[in-house]
Amino acid sequence: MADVRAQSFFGVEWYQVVGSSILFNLIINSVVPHMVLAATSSVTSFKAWFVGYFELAPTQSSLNRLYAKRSSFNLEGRYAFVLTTVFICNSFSHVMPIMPWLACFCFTLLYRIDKNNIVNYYTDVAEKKYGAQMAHAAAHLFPGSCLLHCLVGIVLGELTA
Amino acid sequence: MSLIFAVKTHSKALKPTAVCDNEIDYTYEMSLETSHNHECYCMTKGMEDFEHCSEVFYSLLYSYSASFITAVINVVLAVTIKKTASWQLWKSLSSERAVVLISTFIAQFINTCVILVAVELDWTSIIGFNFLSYLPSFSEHTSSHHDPQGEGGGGEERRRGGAKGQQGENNRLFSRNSFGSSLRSSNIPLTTYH
Repeated sequence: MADVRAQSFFGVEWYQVVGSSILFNLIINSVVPHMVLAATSSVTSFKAWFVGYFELAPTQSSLNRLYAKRSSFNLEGRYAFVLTTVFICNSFSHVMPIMPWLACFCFTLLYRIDKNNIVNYYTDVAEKKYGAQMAHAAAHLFPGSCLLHCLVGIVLGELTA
Repeated sequence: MSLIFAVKTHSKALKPTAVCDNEIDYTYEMSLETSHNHECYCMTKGMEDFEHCSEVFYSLLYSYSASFITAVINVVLAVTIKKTASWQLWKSLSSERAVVLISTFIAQFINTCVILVAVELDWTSIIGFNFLSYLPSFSEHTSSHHDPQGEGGGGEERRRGGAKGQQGENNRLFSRNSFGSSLRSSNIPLTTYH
């Protein structure tokens, strides 16, 4: 009976429908924000080139602003992404052992791209001097992922016992 | 949120989930026998016989495109939460950002995995009733979406007016009336190949 219930929860169909979708969602979620940034920066660069080439800027200062326009570093978005990835990977690492490796991939990608962008693209990183609230909020949420990890492990152990 | 839920459920209902045996070489003739064989044949040799397997291919394409929709919705959620946070008039920018962080995390976590798991769970065995019963599950589609020998295994019987034929007819009608069955119930040419 327990095996039947475990099969119904984490059977082959579950992996094909839910498991693969969660993995795919995580990979897409780790790539899409950077693609959005790349797209917006491309549009901005093209716009600056277009305005400069055809001399459409009314003043030199407006042209300078257009060239200097950069995207702002979204620290809370990075925190949210890291928390989401950690929660999902911790929750399903019992049933999908690839999850920790996927988390490593997502965080490595985030680190590499952000490192490059902070050095070359973002201009407001040094200007933003936030308090510790964001770090405290993230630190308070983190233990919840361990709780979820244990909960899923207990449920899985109960089903397969 | 209901839009996300509908997209996930719809994509799940369309996604092929046949458990295929790797040791079996699924042939075209076998694919004509049952929907299971059809899905296995298309998942192993779909590119070689695209015209025959276009239905399965588009189902897979749609189900995976739902992941892109999820990612786009995540971006939209993050931007919306960030824009609306300033309306709450927090005392400091750090507090506002902390609230944005928590809200974005909760929204993205629910959108990315909680809805997906909730759609799949067998609620009847957990809480005694299925509050999602108005939505279709994939298992309701798999038995009838593709049965070329007579829409439910009763083609010959239906022509004779037998009970099995009536069941096949019912399956066919159910398949066509179900949510998300447009791709499943599309006509697949049976005799134009080989």
